[in-house]
Amino acid sequence: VTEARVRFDTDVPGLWGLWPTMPELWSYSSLREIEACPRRWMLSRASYPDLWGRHGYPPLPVVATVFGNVVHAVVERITKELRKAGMTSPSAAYVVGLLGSLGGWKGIVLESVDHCLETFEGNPRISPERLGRVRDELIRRAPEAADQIKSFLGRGALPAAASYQSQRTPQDSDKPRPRYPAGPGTHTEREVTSEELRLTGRIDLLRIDDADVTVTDFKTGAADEDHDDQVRLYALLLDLDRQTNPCRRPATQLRVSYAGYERAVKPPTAEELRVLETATAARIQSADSITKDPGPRATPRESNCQSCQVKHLCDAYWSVMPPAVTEVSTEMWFDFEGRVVSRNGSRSWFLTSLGTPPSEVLVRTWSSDVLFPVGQRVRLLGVRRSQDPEDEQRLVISMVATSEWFALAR
Amino acid sequence: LAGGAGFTQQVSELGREIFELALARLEDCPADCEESCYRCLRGFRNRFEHSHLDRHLAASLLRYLLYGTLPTLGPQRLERSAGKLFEDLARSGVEDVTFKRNASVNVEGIGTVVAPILATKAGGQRAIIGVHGPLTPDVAPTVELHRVHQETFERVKLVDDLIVARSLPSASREVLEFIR
Repeated sequence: VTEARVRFDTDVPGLWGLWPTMPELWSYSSLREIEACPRRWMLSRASYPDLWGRHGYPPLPVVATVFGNVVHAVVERITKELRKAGMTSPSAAYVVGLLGSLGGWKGIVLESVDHCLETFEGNPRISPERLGRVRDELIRRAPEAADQIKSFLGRGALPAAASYQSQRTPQDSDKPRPRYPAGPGTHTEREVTSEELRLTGRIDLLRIDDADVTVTDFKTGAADEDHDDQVRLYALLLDLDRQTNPCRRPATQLRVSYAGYERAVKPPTAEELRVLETATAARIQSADSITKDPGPRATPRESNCQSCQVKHLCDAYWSVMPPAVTEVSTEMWFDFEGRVVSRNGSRSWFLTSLGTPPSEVLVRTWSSDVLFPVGQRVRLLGVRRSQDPEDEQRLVISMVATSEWFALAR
Repeated sequence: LAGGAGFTQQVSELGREIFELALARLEDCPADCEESCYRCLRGFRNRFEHSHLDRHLAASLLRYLLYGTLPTLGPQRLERSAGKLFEDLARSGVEDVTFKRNASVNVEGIGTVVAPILATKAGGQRAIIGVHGPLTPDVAPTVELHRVHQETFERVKLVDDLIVARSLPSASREVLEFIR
């Protein structure tokens, strides 16, 4: 990445950023994300030097995402541990000793939960209380995670193939990671890359034997036919990655594996692979051009904006998506933009909505530390429409500990 | 209770002893009731909550708070609960799954363990179903089963005793979703 980064300003006073440059490699998910909403992708991956020192906009922890990361991390850890010990069967007595020594499934999962949540430490957007709540929810789901891990490992992840032991030194850390031929056996979290196409992926489970090359992707969420595209793309990467697959053996079986069942996906033929390669090259070219656009287009729609973590920075979202406060039913969660009129009490403020005609709204905050700037526009995320028991006609909005608010420049 | 909320002040003055006496009453109810009665937990003022009062559960929590003992429910209670769940599952009429009560299962690396309920699918895949105490989610009723649950690849599902007691259809649904 050698291009100069372009600075941009946001509506939030003092918050400016540097747009991301064209990535060296794309992945299935990054391509999907930039295609779904170019602006969301760009805002999420921009740098905000005055906000924090890390790359991208500070993310919020999403339980489902962290849950998936925990499951994948434990599958990788267990297969590595068993491979290190030269294990050939998941049911051998050694496994019992190993799992016991690691604290049992629960201990292993909880350790992974803490490890995954460590990435949120120092994140200016997340309070320790919020992180604690996410942790509690993940602990509650630990048995479910352990069961999914058992299920995935039981679907051919063992015995694991011997892996190359890296001889990399700390000085090598900024060099591209070398890949080595994937031999017979099973490989978890196997990277496959095409430098020519500038596309990379990590195959959750790659199984190679005399008869078949099987690509399996583990999914911890709900079944979705879009997942089929991902394994087809892995088949393409496997075909193109001459380091991992020097004999160019085609993927003969593709599977999407959910907690309860597996779905077989028809592997692409040689001709279909070429068509997919051409189509993917075009997608990458299009994605590249988006990264050069200093005013990336937004595509506000429910499916894109619901889980968007940078919507407070996106005018397009606020102009079309949030419902008018008068149309929101009591107890419903929504986002609200308004202008601060005056303080009402230590934890309540009067705001006016920006619609026509403007409506007066009483906003109840969760803490007296919330100090809205009078006269300025503010955006409130994740607030609840409430009712005033003494005045049913009054429009009331409640903020909770997980609600966020952002004052705007004008 | 005479004194209403003011009674709490007297409780604090009595110190630890009052909790030890309460524990003795909960663990050894003079009426030897199953869950609660007027000799231990029930009173006129909590009449709407009678169905929720459980002296064994209260005792296990109090014992944990006083002495740090891991909360447990008696084996008979867990057995009764597993039996209730088994009967409901057997009645559910789910095709291609058979349920067996107190089945011996050989688990490599552990040995033979008794599965409170063994669910076997037509394809041969099996899952062990057991009941856990409400205060100890993820703790199996026996040490052996706990090891199977935590240290092997066997699929084990533990259902909350309280869910079995209060909402049996929900408990069965949980199991059926697990073995789907």
